[in-house]
Amino acid sequence: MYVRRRRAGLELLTLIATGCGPEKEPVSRTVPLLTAVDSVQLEEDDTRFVGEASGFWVASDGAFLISDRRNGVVHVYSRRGHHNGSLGSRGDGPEEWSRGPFFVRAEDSVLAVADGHRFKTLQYPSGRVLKELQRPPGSGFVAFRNGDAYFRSIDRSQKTTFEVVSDDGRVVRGGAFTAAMGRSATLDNMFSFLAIAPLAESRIAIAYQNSDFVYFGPVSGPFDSVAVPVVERRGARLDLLNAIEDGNPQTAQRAAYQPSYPFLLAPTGSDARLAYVTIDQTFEGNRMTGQPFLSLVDINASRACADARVPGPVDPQPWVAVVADTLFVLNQDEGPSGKPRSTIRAFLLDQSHCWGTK
Amino acid sequence: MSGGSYFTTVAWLIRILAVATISFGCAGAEPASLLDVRLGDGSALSETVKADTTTIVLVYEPGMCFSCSPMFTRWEAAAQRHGARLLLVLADEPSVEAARALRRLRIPVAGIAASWPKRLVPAEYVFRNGELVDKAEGLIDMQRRKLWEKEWLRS
Repeated sequence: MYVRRRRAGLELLTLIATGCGPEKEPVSRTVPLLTAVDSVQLEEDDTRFVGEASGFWVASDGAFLISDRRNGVVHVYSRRGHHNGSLGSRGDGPEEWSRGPFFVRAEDSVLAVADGHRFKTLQYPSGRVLKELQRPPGSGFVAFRNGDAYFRSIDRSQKTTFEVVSDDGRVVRGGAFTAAMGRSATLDNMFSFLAIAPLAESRIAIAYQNSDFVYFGPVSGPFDSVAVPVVERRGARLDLLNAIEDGNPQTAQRAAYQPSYPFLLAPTGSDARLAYVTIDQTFEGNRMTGQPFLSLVDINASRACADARVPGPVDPQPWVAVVADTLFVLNQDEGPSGKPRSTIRAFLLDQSHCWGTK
Repeated sequence: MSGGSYFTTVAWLIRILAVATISFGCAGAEPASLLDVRLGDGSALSETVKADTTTIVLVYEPGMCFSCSPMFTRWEAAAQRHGARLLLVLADEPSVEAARALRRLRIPVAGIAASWPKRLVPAEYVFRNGELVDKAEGLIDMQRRKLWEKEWLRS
């Protein structure tokens, strides 16, 4: 009797602590179908090549944008893989990248790029810098829409998880702690990476490394949630995360690189249906390898179609982008002659396989 | 002999053994000259650094993350700015994966210095006209000395 009461009490406490609304049980366990529709090998030679991809997106004109921290540039490749130039160079100047470039997003003629603690918007395709922000450590750029830049920003006192910086400089805090968060500062700081999909009417969808749910609602909350069943990916690994003790670094070390990393959350043509890509990473000392998995999430119907294994090489880790119903995957490997090559593959996201209709 | 003193004595013996092992281990690793390292084209490093330019020799572990650490790229930028020659010598044979990562990053490997003492790695050496003019050995020394920022780089 005591145990049952205590458990009920814990569930109630968890519910209050999360602030993210009830975490509903999964409805669907169907795996999404990825149909390969195109493959483009990028034009590379010893002077123009993708060294270490550190960000990837598709511009509004269809060009592929690839952040390359090895070379300190953002490469611009045409849809057919022709190298159309690059933006920036390594350095500390306004049109230079000091540590990156890293995460890149594009909207119309504006490019938004993270560069260590700096965040920049650039005119595309000229590369002229429009704006630069200094961001505190641990504040990663995660999404961009309508001139609003979204940053991961964990505030343990307010129990908020992100900041939105508008084009006019206005800052709004949002997000809510998941069930796993709030107990340990180590967990909140090290295992709370997140992906955000800004939606219409100031709504967002958000996915956390420490949760197997996708949350959605107005930027200021409250949030509803959809469970994304862990079929093949590692998932949040709450067994490891809940064992983390502040002041015992070994517990955090055991969990390092174990939970699936929230790689991308993006609408697939309609705001109601989202593509959620996670990646199971392994740090190999001199590079990160990782197998991505794609799930489709229907936030209106509260259902998810989880864990299609994204095909292709996983060493080094691939990069992904979603435009409408197409998943683009950037892979780096070696051709038959042993020469390094970069390839972008396109896959159609067949949603009818998940819920019967497109 | 009481239990306490027994364990104290054993602990001291273990310490002495450990110190002896470390000392002998180090004594056996007396390095050959770095200049004896054979480069990929068969020539000795000593021949290459004789050229009338500044030559920077980096001795790094092959498993190092070359793209996530600024160590290599800042030297690459400095060498380019000052017209210096940059040679990467690996402190060991790279694994298949490490070699593939280096090819992907288009980082040419000048040679392997497998006999170079590991305690000196990573290391950075600057030669001018065949003479060693500056060096930094180990991460702390490298960070303290910041050789890549020095004026002598100007050829």
